[in-house]
Amino acid sequence: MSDKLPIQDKPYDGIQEDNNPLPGWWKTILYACTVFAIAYMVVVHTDFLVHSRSDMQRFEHEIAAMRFRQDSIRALKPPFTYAELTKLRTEQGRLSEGKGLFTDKCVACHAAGGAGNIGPNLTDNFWLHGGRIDSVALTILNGVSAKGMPTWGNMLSDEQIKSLAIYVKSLHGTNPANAKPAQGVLDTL
Amino acid sequence: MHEPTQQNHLDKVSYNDKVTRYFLWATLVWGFVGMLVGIIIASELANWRVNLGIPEITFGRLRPLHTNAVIFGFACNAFFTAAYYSTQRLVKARLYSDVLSWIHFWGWQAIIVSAALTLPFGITTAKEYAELEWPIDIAITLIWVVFAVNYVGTLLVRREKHIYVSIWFYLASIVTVAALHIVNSAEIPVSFLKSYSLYSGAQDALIQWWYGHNAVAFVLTTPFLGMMYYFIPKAVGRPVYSYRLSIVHFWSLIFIYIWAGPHHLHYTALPQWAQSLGMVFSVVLWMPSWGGMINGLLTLRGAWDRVRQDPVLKFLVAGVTFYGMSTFEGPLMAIKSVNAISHYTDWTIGHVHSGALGWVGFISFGCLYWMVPKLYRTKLHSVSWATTHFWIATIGIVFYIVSMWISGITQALMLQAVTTDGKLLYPDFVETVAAIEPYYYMRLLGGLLYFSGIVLGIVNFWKTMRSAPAPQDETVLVPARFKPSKLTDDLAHATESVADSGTLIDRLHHVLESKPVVLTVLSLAAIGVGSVIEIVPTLFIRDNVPLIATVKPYTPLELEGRDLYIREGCYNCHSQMVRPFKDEYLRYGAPSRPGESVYDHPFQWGSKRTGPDLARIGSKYPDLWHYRHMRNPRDISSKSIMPIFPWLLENKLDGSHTAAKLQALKKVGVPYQQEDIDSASVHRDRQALEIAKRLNEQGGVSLTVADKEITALIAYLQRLGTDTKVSVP
Ligand code: HEC
Ligand code: HEC
Repeated sequence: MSDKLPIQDKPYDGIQEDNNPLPGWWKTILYACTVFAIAYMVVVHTDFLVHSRSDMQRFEHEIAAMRFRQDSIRALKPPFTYAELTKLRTEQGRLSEGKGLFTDKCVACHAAGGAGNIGPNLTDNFWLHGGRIDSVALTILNGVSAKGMPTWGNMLSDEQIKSLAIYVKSLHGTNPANAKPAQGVLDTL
Repeated sequence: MHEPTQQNHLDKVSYNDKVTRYFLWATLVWGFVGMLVGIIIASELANWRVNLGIPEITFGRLRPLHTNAVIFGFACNAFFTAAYYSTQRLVKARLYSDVLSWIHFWGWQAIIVSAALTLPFGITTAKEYAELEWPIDIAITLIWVVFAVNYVGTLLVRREKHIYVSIWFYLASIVTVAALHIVNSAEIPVSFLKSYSLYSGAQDALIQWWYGHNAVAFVLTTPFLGMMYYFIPKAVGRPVYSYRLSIVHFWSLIFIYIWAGPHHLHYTALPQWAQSLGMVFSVVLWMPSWGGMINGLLTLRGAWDRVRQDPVLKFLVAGVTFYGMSTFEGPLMAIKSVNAISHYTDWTIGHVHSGALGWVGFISFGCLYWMVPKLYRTKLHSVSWATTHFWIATIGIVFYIVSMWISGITQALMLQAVTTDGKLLYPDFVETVAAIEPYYYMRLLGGLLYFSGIVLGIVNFWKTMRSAPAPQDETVLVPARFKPSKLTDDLAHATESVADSGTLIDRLHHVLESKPVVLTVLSLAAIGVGSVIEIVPTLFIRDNVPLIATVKPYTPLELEGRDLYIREGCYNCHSQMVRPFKDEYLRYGAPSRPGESVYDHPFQWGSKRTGPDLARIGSKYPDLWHYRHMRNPRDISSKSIMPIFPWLLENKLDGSHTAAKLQALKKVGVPYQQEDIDSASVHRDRQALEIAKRLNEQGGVSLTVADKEITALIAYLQRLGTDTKVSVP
């Protein structure tokens, strides 16, 4: 049932108005949202009802938990050993997986076939961070952030890093065209 | 309370319909242009080759032109058309001044033309929807004042004592837009077409999104609610559902809307209390918004069958329905846990377009289809074309929103996927881009459909106009001026209980409706509360933006590089704001802190991640990487959709204003010393040479690169995030 309007002599340009009451569900939701709003501010920004953490504190706890989990996984099983990597070099599919990953992620800096460009030549006997297969894997895992070699351990799985190291070692002595001059020290291990 | 005297005396008044017709065609022209540019940028995202390597039409430069043309060209002209048309008829008076009306018309069109002449050339302030440089900002202010004077003047010579609800909405829009524009555009000029925002970092971000969000409110919502209140009852010939609801939702809407801006800055370096206010007010805003929808839709009660025949009603009813949908989606996206997914993704783009295409576009076209036959005193050329327009546009919108939902949510879930041993499942950002590319084509299809509807509409209007008799102003007989009464008398009268005349609130408000200036001042007060409570503490309380000792101002070369970043519109695709989430930490590094951007005038936090965040890009890659990536991103990242920027490698850096830039920034509080300013060019060239040498060493790039723009851009990119660099864990 529409309420009466305040007296209005004539419609506005022919437009009439009814004065229906505010719908009940409309008012209920409006009040509920308002109550929610107040409750949220109290819960999140005061210690009145519960002790709440800021977004930043929540984030720090999450990261700490993640680090703890990672450390415990690493402590149980170091990502790779020299012996394991040497054995894996002959495993089916390793080389092709490594090659695929290398084309995807590494050629931008090391050029096709590891000839070197932004990053060093990976086919020669000279290494900045050690040429034995476990050293190579470790460089890939940890990166050299300061020099622009990404920390692939943050992005790739341990298995993928092993395959990459195997592929990189397979490039040794390929003498690609336009190879970058040697960098680092002689290491033929 | 009413004036029986002179009841029978009638005056002849002719409405200024000519200027209304001009505004109507301006609406159509800018609608066409703005949406065409929208189609172009949509195809540029689907396929990076579309820009043909022409700097002026790359995504970063055209996207602001698209938004400016549709908001200020299409939507504002639609508002001016409808407001001038309806207000003259609602108050039975001709527009206050013909001269002001024409200044308003030509001045506003000149502003949009100047947008088209500056934005593609990279002349921009980089503040979203406020990109126009300072001389144009001044012009906007002046023309808006002309509009306001002309509009309020019309109300002051009105022949109806009370102003109808449409006019409340128009008035609130006019004053609020003025306040938003002036506060957000405060900037310090460096040269004729270059300025820096007065505010920096978190403060600039807050003010920008207070503006940005309320541009949505007071340019794209309240004017269109005003239009809805006039054109729906006119078109359907039924009384508005509820006067009281219109009062309650008008005041609650404008009071609450203004607080909601910080929901654009969830989980950023904006103080958390401001984020929370933005969130809870957005939730409370839901019902006040729906109040408008209810009043619009229920005005059709008992007349729904009319919608089947009349394209005007189809557009208006569907428009209101889209309004209801987006004002539900909006508060939902303002909830922080939902926003954690939706922010920076295409979901936001879809949301904005359900409002823009569905609500603003459909209400505008509903009104236009109503007005054109009236303004040209003839029948619409083709009703069935209008109906076809409606259906293809509707299908277009559905394609648009659905594709953006899928693409936004897909990309967010891929980016956030972290394995149990703490590794990103999709470490390469570009993998997520490749996954959503099909939806960019689907969105393009939706846009094309909507656009073809517009073209059909324009042809329809054109043919209608051609077949019409010579247009003339409508002349009507109007009652004599009423005798103004004293506010206090009216109020006293309203408080006396009168049987059968509504509640006390109804009666008091009715009195207010006879005092448009008072109503305007009260609206300004309503939007003032939230504005002051959010902005003042952020600007003046130190704790909100704690300084970090290691954060230092940019070097002259980095500053020039930053201006190139702004010129190319990189911020349209890249954010510089890492949120405190595990995945962002693994991908980009530690969360951004407010102290890191205190020297950023304007802030560059961004609002969309079409590409990865760049807040900590500094020293992530060697200089040569950036050199080659800017020349053609595909050389480095084969699936990239980032445009090519080869001209940066060839253009000489224009260093003529380097010292003036430092000087200007010093005035707004960046701690440059006089000797920094004096030695700016020398320092700039020295740093450029160092970069050139590195590029030469790393990749044999010729040393002549030293005076090219690319060295400045590299200097800037390599600086980002390094002031607070903690070793990457
Ligand atoms: C953004 C460029 C970039 C990318 C991409 C990149 N690297 Fe590197 N890489 C470098 C740089 C630069 C160095 C040299 C680091 C130094 O100077 O200490 C390097 C060094 C290395 C080394 C050590 C070489 C030595 O001499 O000790 C290895 C092994 C290596 N990268 C492997 C890879 C693999 C595998 C990938 C792909 C998963 C890859 N890199 C991707 C830039 C890159
Ligand atoms: C159309 C959107 C778009 C525009 C405009 C754009 N970019 Fe990009 N950008 C991307 C995408 C997508 C990527 C991810 C793929 C890649 O590396 O190219 C990207 C990547 C980047 C990266 C590498 C980030 C990383 O962590 O690997 C940098 C640096 C960059 N862009 C800088 C810029 C600069 C500077 C500009 C302006 C001159 C710009 N971009 C303009 C979309 C864009």
